[in-house]
Parts: sequence; structure tokens; C-alpha cells
Amino acid sequence: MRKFLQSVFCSRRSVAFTLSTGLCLAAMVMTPLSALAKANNNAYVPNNNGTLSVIDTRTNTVIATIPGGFNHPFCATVSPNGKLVYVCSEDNSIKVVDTETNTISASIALPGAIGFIGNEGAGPSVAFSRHGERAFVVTSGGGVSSTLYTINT
Amino acid sequence: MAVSPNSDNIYLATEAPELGQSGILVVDADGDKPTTTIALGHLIFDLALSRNGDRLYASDVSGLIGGQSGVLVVDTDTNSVVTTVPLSNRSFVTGLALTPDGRHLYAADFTLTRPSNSTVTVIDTKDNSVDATIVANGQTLTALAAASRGHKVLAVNSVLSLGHDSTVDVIDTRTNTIDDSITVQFFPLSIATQPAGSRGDDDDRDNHEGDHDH
Repeated sequence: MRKFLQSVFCSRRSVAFTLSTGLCLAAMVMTPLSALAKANNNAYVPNNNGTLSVIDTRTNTVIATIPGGFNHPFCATVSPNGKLVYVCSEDNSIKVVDTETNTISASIALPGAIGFIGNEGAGPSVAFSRHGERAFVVTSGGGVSSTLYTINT
Repeated sequence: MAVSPNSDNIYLATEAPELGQSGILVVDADGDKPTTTIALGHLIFDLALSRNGDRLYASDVSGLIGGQSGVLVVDTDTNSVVTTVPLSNRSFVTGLALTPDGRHLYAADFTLTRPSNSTVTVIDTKDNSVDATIVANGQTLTALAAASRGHKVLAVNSVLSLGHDSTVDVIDTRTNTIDDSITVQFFPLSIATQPAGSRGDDDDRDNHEGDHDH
């Protein structure tokens, strides 16, 4: 969406402003370069004992084990730009891991257990939108209903 | 859970037949449209969506209640199941992983017999035929993820036994064999890699039609 809006903005501006065109071209050239720099080659594995294993998939080795902070984590999802991992915790929260520092940078509290009613604990309970502006998480409220929450990332 | 490319539709897997909610729920992200259900009555555990959003793959664990376990292939235009790839009866189909080029779907399952058999089935998405079946080292595969631009698929081989570490088995997708094993810790249920197409080294054009307008 960001690229799309940018291209529309640039093409309209370029008709009227030469200077804007130059700026926009620069911005469009820089976008793929910055995306390239953010490629994340790791795999993230939440261990039930409360840690997150970080595997370098090029060498098949564990390069970090992030300790503590996770409460029986059971699912993990990497953001589209590779900068964040959302980790589901059994304490009804999502722990946000910064992949540059391999530390927990935030915790998002939810009002219920993560997972669809009847499907709590299943892996796929958190998902990002294609470009990562939003994340979706479903919780079960302890009754017969589930709620879908949208997180502004 | 899976999100359509435009974020309009959220696909939720559910396996709660006692609530009358089993199947795949299609939920409008903005809450404007009513929820519809695909494959009502099937117990669905995991979902994978093709990159352009036209095909949804669902791991069906209906074998647990006397049905047939397998992978359902859903046409998202009509929200209907177009075909089923059956796997072992009474098996728990856990992880699904699409290769970044969308040509192969990897599906992990384990049987409920003891000792259980755990396999990864490779499905050719062109005709939904089974290309290969890979026998896993352990008994309980819980999750899959594609890595290294689709050259590898990682399979979580989870051990629910204190004092025994679990492993992540590395499948070489060119040979469809397990060629490495990485030790992790206790009873992992998930594995995550950066989604295909969002990396700088992948072709992302199909998602930016607007970029070609000028």
C-alpha cells in the first residue's frame, strides 16, 4: 500500500513539479534497497519452557536463545519486513520481539486466550496484513464466542 | 489464520464441532460483511494462502472424529472446496508451508497410533497430486516453515518429554530429503520465518499493480 500510494503521489506531482519528481524518483530507487537490507534469514521457534530459539537458516545453527519473558509461548509470526516477531504467550499477551536486538520490545495484553474458541493453542492465531501495517489476532473469551482484534503495528 | 492480500478477508481455522463452528470462517476485517463458513463440519487446524490469494489450503483433521484427514484446497472466489488431498486416516495434520514460488505445498502430519508415524507430504499445487512423502525422524511434527527462498522447509519435531530436546529437521526441497537437524528446546508448537515476497530479493511485482500505471 505504501508503494502504491507513493507511486500515485509521485506520478501526479511529477506533472507539476520538477523538483518533486526528482525527490520521488530518489524515494522509489531507495525503497527496494532498504527492503533488501531488511531480509531476515532467521527462523524463530517458541519453546514451551519459555524461550525463543533463533535459527540462522543459511547455516542451520541456533544463533540465539532468547530467555525468559515468554509464558509458555505457543505460536510465532514474523512481520513482513522481518523486523518483528509476534509471539503468543499463555498469559493472554503477544510478546513483540525486535529481531535486530533479539529482545522483547513490547507486550500487547489481550482480554482472552489467544486462539479461536476450540482451537486455542493452535499455531496460526496471529497474522499480519500483506505490508505489515496491521496484525490480526483472534481470542476466545472463555464462552462460546471468539473475537478478532486488529492491532496497529 | 490467513489474511487475503488486500486484507479484506481474514480466514480462521476452527475445530470446535460442539459449538457448530468447525470449518474455515471467512471474516470481514472491517466487520462490514457477514461471516461465511467453508467446509462446515470439518475440523481445520492450519491454513496457508497462495500469494495472490486465489487458493487457500487447509489442514483437515476430521480423521480425529471418524472422518478423513487431509488437505482441503479452497477456491477463494467461490469459497468452495475444489479438491481434497487425503492423508493418513486418523492423522493429525498440523503444519502447512507453501514454497515462495507457490508451486509446492508441504503438509506435516502424524498418526494417532502408538508409536506414531510422522510424515511430510509434498503436494504439487498445479494438479494437487502428491510428489513425495518424507518420513520424519520423530513422532510428532507440529509445524512447518519455508526458508532460504524455498530451498529448505523446516519441520518442528516436537518432543513432549522433560529432559528431551526437540529438533527442527531441515528438508532440502530439491531432493525432498532431511539433510540436517537442529536441536531446540522443550515442546515447540510453531516456527516462523519472514513471509515470502516481502524480502528484497523476491519478486514482489504481483502485489503492486499500481506501480505499473505510470
